Amino acid sequence: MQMAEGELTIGAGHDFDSIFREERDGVFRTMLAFTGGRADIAEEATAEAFARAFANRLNLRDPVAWIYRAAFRIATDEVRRDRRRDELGESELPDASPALVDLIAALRKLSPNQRAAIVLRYVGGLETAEVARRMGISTPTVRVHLHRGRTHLRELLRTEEND
Amino acid sequence: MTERWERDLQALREVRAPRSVDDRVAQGPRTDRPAIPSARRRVTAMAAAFAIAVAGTLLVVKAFDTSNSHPANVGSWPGGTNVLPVPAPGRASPALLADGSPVFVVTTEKGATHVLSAVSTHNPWGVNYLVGWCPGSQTFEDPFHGSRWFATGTYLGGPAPTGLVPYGFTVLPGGQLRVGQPLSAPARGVEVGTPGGFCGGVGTSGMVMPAGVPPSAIRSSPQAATRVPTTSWIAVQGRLMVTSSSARLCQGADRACRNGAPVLGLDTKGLTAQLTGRHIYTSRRWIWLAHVQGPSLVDLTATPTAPAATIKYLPLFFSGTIGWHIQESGRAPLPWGSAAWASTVRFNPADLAPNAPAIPPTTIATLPPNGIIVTARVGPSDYDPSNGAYPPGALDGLDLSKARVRGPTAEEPPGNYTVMEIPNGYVLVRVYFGTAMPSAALVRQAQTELDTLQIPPVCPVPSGTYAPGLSVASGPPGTQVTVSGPVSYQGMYGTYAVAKEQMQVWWNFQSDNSNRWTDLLPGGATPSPANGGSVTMVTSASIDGACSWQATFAIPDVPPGAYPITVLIVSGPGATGGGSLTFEVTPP
Repeated sequence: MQMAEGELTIGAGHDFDSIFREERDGVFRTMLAFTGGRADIAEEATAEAFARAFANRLNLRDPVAWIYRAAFRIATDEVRRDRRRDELGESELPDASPALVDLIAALRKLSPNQRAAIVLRYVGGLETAEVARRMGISTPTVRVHLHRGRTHLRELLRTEEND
Repeated sequence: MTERWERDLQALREVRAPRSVDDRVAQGPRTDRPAIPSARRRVTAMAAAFAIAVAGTLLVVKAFDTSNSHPANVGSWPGGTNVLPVPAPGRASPALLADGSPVFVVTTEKGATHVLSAVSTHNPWGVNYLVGWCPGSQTFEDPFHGSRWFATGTYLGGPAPTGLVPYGFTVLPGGQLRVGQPLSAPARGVEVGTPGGFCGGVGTSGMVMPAGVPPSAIRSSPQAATRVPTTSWIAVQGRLMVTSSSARLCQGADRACRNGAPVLGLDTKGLTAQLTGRHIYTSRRWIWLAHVQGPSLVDLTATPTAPAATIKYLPLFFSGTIGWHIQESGRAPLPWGSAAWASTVRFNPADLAPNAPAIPPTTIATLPPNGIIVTARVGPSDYDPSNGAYPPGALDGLDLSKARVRGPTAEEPPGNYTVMEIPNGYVLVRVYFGTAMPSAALVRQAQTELDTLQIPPVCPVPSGTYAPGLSVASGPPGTQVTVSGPVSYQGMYGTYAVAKEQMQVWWNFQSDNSNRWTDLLPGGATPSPANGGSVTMVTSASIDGACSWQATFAIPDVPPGAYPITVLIVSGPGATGGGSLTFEVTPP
């Protein structure tokens, strides 16, 4: 049976409760960075990805990677639909610390893929290959995103320190 | 030693997902929320297909984009007019009446004209939604919930309780009419077609949306909007928040809703039941039409996205003859469209800036007498997407001997030179000569270059329909059957729009009015089998970028009889019906 998404094969069920508890915050953080601080979209993408994964739970071989990829897709769609130049600067994150606000402002200057790769690698602590699986892109591409993202962040945050 | 960026990143570790995620996951995937279908999809034609948008993934709609394809209808607002032109047969024009009411003036293919309200009569929980016009299927459709109406406003299918509300009108001389008062909506009648929202399978990118409101007329503070007494419709942007006893339209990201206004007439209990524990019903970016009643808003009407805003015009290019310099803009968003240039001289770098105009003015201004520049552009002024898909022959007829010959216009650099212009309805070609009297040889040279103008390949239009077929229609269990068909989903101008799509072939699904194929999607109801046994997906095929698809499966071991085969086109969270077939299982 040929499937568009390689992971959709009939497999054993997973303990979705514990997957949800363990991964929920990580997915949300990643989406928050990926969307450049759009907490509303991050929340929706996180929730919808888990909800779809749960509905598909018997068919997922690697649910965590699947959930991340679904969340990236959903967030991409939402951001695209929601693009309004004048409001991009707004963050809806409640109770954000000043450090976080600064960080998100800096992250926003990166491309979405750079942000996602950086967050998965340096906040999530994942190996490059695992980052690639969760983003649904190749490992060399992840390395490029990581390299450019690091370089960019380094410049951005250094500049801000000098200010 | 860690660098600052690494340390700062750790701030993200403090971030936790909000608790509302838990509730939201428990609700399951989005299926029956207001579904705004993807505007990126399009089918060139789809005779046998039925389609609705499912699992609309949207929190947010961008509406009334100033760059939509109906700028002629955007005047001062409200303050539209009740005197409107009668469209040609088969066309519908969106308009705003003097009081701001959104309507369509439509002339059926048989020549009868109607004025219809653009507000859907299906208003779940008291929220109204606007409808769009589908030129291909000659129907009005509610892109949020899939109700459909004929061009006359008569009910066709979907959840709407009645036909569209008609307006009385008198015909004026000069092909115009004066719109009068709204009449009562015609009764529903039987559902004669399948629900839609996707223009009968054609996709929403060709949908004609209700006329837009200029951004300056959209109020950002709902509270301030209610302070201006008016009996007209107003346009206001905001987030709809509901509790079980009240609803408010709120400004921006302010969850305390300080500049909000109460909304009356909504079934707040029904709305909150949709949200289980949350209070946010829409994103803050939704734009609504409403009437003011005291300090409150009534008749809250959601405006759908303007699909044209997301259209990327096809990247034209010159393959170029030897000695010519060529440039192309690539895929460009509205409002500029895409442009390709060819020139006998090198382009001036000033013309190649990212935001350069559609013609190379500096190069034109310095063109030598024997120089030629050919420009080609696709864009909103050249081709109205509501006319349907960009056909494969869209580059035909670009013959300079039939071109209009003129001098420079105000948008072109001044000078004593000649411009030949050919608008063929799809592409606008302009040829600039460095002389006021180009020789026949120069024109021939330009024509040779123009003949190399290309568009990316498109999938051929099938001679029959887009319906799938079976390699054999009957046989015993175990028979190998191939399901195949042409792929109809294409981008606006023939390019493939949706990267990852999948055809799914389902066996034994009872499809009727109460058992929709949405049951086959994750999170849907348990699909009902047509015969004994179960409903199963027997095979599937990726249709990523292809112009046709096929998938093979073995007939299951089932008792003899006629079994339905349902084809589903799945794209991310959404899906579209791809047609139904029947296989006759014979005894082994």
